[in-house]
Amino acid sequence: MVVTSEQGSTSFPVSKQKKQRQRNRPRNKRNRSQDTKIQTQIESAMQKAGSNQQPNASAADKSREQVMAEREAKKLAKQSKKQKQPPNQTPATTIITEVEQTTITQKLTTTTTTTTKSKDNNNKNQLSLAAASITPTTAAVATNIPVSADSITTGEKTRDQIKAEREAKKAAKHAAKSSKSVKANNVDAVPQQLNNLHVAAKTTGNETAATEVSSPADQEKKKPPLSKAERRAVQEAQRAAKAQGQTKTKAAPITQAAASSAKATPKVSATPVKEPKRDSESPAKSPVKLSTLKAERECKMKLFNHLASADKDASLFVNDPNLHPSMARLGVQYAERTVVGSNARCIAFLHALRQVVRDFETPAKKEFGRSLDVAVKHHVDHLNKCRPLAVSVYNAYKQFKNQLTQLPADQPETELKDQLEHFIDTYIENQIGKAAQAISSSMQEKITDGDVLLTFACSSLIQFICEEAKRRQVAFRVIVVDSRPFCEGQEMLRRLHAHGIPCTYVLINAIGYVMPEATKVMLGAHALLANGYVMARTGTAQVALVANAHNVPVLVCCETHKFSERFQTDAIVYNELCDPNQLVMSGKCCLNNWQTKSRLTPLNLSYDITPPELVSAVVTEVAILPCTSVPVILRIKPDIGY
Amino acid sequence: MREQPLREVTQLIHAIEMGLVEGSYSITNKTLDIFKYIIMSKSWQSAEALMQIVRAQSRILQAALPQETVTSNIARRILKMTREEFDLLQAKVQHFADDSQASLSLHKLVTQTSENCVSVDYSLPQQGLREALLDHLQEVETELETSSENISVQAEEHIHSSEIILTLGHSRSVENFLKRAIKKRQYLTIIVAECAPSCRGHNLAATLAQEKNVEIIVIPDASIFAMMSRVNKVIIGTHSVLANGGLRAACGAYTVALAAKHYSVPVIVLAPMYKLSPLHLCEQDAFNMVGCAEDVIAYDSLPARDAKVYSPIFDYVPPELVTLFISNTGGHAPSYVYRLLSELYHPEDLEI
Amino acid sequence: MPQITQSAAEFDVVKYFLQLLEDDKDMSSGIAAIKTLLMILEKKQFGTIHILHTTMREAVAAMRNTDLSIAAIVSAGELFCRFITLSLDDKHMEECRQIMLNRGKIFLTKLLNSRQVISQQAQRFISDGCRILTHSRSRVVLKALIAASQNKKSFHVFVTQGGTGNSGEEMVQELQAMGIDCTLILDSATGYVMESVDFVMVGAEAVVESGGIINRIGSYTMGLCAREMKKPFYVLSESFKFSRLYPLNQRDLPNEYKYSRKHLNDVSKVHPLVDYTPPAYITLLFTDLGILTPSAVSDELIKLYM
Repeated sequence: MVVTSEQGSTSFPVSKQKKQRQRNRPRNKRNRSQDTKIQTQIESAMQKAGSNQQPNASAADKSREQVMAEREAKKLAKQSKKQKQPPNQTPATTIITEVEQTTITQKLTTTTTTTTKSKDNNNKNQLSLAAASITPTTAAVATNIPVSADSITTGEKTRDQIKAEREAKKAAKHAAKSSKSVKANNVDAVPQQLNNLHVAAKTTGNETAATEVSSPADQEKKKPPLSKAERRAVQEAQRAAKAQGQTKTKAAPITQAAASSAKATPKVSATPVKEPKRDSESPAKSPVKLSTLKAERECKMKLFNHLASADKDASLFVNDPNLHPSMARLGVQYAERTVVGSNARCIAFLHALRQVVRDFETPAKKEFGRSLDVAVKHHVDHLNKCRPLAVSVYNAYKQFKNQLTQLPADQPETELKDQLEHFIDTYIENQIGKAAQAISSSMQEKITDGDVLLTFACSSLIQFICEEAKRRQVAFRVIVVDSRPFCEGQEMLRRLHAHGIPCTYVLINAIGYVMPEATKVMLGAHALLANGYVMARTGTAQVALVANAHNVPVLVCCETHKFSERFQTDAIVYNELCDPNQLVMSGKCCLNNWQTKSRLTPLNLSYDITPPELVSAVVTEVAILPCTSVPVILRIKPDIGY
Repeated sequence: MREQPLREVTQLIHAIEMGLVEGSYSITNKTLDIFKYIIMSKSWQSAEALMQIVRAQSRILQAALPQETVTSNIARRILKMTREEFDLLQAKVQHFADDSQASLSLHKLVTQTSENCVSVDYSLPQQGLREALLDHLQEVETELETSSENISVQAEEHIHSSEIILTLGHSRSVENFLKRAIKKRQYLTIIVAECAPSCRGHNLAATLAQEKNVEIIVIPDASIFAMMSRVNKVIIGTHSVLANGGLRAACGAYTVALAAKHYSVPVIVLAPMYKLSPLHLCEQDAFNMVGCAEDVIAYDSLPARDAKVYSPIFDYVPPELVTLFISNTGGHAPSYVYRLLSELYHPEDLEI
Repeated sequence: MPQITQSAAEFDVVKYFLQLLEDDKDMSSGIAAIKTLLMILEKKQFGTIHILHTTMREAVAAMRNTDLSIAAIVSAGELFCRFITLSLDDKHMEECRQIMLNRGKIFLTKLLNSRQVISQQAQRFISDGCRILTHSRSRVVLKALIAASQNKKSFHVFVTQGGTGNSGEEMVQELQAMGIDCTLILDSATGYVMESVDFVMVGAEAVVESGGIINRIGSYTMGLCAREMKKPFYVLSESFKFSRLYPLNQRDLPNEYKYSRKHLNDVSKVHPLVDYTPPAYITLLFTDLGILTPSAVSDELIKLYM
């Protein structure tokens, strides 16, 4: 991925070294491939491997200290990971460090394989999770990619890499500014670009796959610290494949698909690679350039600087050996948005958490509760990096932590685990399952014959309520309002249609056209804030606004586990930026190549904030309440919940 | 009515329906050309006869293109022009000037006498009317040509530097206005709502991004409310301005205006004079037009089969949500639109 | 000038005025006032302009002294005086009188026709199947509704009782006689009904300079409700009701507008008859001059009196 801020802050000499190393990389790679040291995962570990072997290959070029410095830098970048290698390596211990690194890479490979294996399970899990509205096929695709990557021969890769580099250099000459935008992009954007790169190399079949892997490696050069970049790269590729909506199950089709998509946005592909290339060519200059680039990027969308890099670093930690595979997978799912929706995210998190608890082994001479707390915290941090935690997830985590602290010390570990697992199960059942039923039953009184319910985007809870009303044979119809780019309303439409509920479907512009027909507006929520504001999918506030202008009552359906203690008065302070490329329409669109236009930025906000005066009532499992009662619920919540 | 459309009129209708002629400006221009042709070449003997022809052709246009109110507007202009020129020439001959002819008012109601309440007989042949009309027509044409320019020169009066401006979709007036503003003012941020499903906002964003010293942010329509809290001014175009100062504007404008109202952001509407229509919003069905829904949801998608899908083209924006109109003659409050209309059109021509 | 008072007394202004209203229940008091004034003009001889003016003013004052609500009388009287002023030429007094009488007739015919014009204008706003709320009885609203019904539109009308009188019931009976679907509601039910109606249509006793209206008590409440529920509030009013008055609030409204004459001495214990609805609550005014926004009213008055 893109240069992280830590890197930016590293001292000049270090970055210079990095650059030199990068320049040498192709050579190194060749050496490495002769070594056949780490054949299975070469592409990924390229960075590390490269640095390991450099002293052997060209001792003249690099002193041991340099290597050390590089490693230091990497470590820094890895940030708070606990598994840091011993920080104080003396020049004399170079060999030792080499060994260490090799072991790390091996660890990596093992993690990879485990994750890959677990993915099949994941698919099943995902299917079983009704809430997780994912197409299983995409997950399947995801599993295929790493496999194909593994099967590639190293020789091919290096060649491809050189090619790719050349291509990239060329690309770098154009549109220098757009490189910055890479950073601004979401994680999703990068994989796409990666895929595109392969196409540029014009390789086919396995070769394409090889380049695919290599291109991430190129990016690693940019950021040496990303030791686990390989893992990430693979996952990014998966993500990209998913993002492009490829549902084919074979690896080859995927690459083809990637190729086609790359054609659609060729410049996009060029931009990300360009920056690393240039760095390698002119190591001395690059720091300066980096800084200017950064400055320029900051100029773009000043309003959102604080949000811009939200999920950039997400995949940095995917290969963390301390990470439970179920959590690693969840992280990817969060970041890829295959698990979306407050409830779905919460359920998925709790399931993963249960896995973690079950598989947890108390380290020697440590207390179970406390060490588990630390481990879970680590996982939650990871998830937070993948995508900012949903309020529901955060609340669930808080409750879990609360539970942990109350664990009796004198019971055997297995019993404690059982207790915790039971807690998680009941949390899912009560806070989500039963709450939904309670909300639905109180909503049933509000849905009568002849009602026209207007709803926005997709909410599992609203869907549940509508289905229940249909079961009661109420004659009502639903207007589904939707908005680009997510178009979640189509999913809602599909689900309601499956239950035979008559539907009308419009985009959010046309809301003024349909609002006079509506008798009630029912909205789902991401969270209810302590000042009574409703945080929900962007567009919700607009629906409430128009409903208010037409005197249509607005009901927000929200379980109390989504209540948040945060205060917020606008949608900009805290929000999530989604992939801006989603705004670009398929086919001919003026926004194509927006990255090349320094002054143009598509903005894709996830949430907005609905002020309480636009909401008639909040329907919770406790009661139907005015928005202003949220703090009251927050206060009494410990009594209802846990 | 047994009026037959002129060949030019049928051609224009066809061109507009096929999308060959797009945008209010071109349509107005083309309509004006037709009327010019009528004035020049048709064999009419009196003002009355000319007005009949104009009315007839305008009715045909209106029936064929109910949404293109500009055609009727320009016809009203021609009718008023004819009346004025005729009165002027009559006055020269008969030394009798009646300036209160133009509008119906309390004043007129009181002062009307049996002598001057006799309506002017337009059926009298009048020398020099054709020439006078063509002269006058020239003025209208010039006004039309310069309207966009005249609007955009006012940009500096309304936009200061570092402003955050929100606009919706793609209006030519807005494009010119903003370009001018970008040239004159620094560090503007322009937020463009894309206006799905056609997403014409993308075009505007791409065009404006070619300018310097400006930051363009494209947002989906759903983020309008979220972004509005940071916006200084909303600048939108409109399809037409109604008699009460309300707008018939691109779908989504209502939401924009409401959100702006919620955050007390001024809404500036760019509307050249030819977009002023003496119509009131009374029937929703006649007011709006439903477009092709394919862009909203693919016809062949499963859920689309049983769902009703609408893609309306227009939104009605009530006058209380509009802060200011900027026309080629300057700024106007929405409450002043009635006055502009009474100056622009003759009361008897409101219904063509 | 006793002789003038005398001459005015010879012709009993009030009696004639009340007789006019008695003869034609449908006649607005404003029209009756103008008719009366024209009659005075016709019957009397005036030596000077000054005398003419004084006579007219006294006649208006006499009519104001009746128990009818005075808003329309005042505005019509003012309009008539203005009419006299504007019609005066430098000619001989008698000649002037003839011209005035002549013009006055045209003026009157125009005014008599105004309800027709207004109801015509309102037609497009009454759509098939709509629900209309109206306040008490207003002749011009009634006319518009009947015209719409005759245009084969079916709609439902909610009529408020309109205070102490039975004017609301009258309205309902008249509407029902024309086969129009209607419901009589309590004045206090305005807020309840507002939610379900499409728009409000009321008449007015006077339209003031601000563009607001003076109308039977309860109209203001209705305007407030309509605004809160975002329903259009339409006013149907003839242009002779335009009056040069600028009330700031209810208290600012002159007492003689608000109370019947017999209560004027002590108004502390009686109920006002009219209230003032500010222009902000009015969507459109349908007048014989056209469909006006409230802001256009002032324009019209400026044109007339400046």
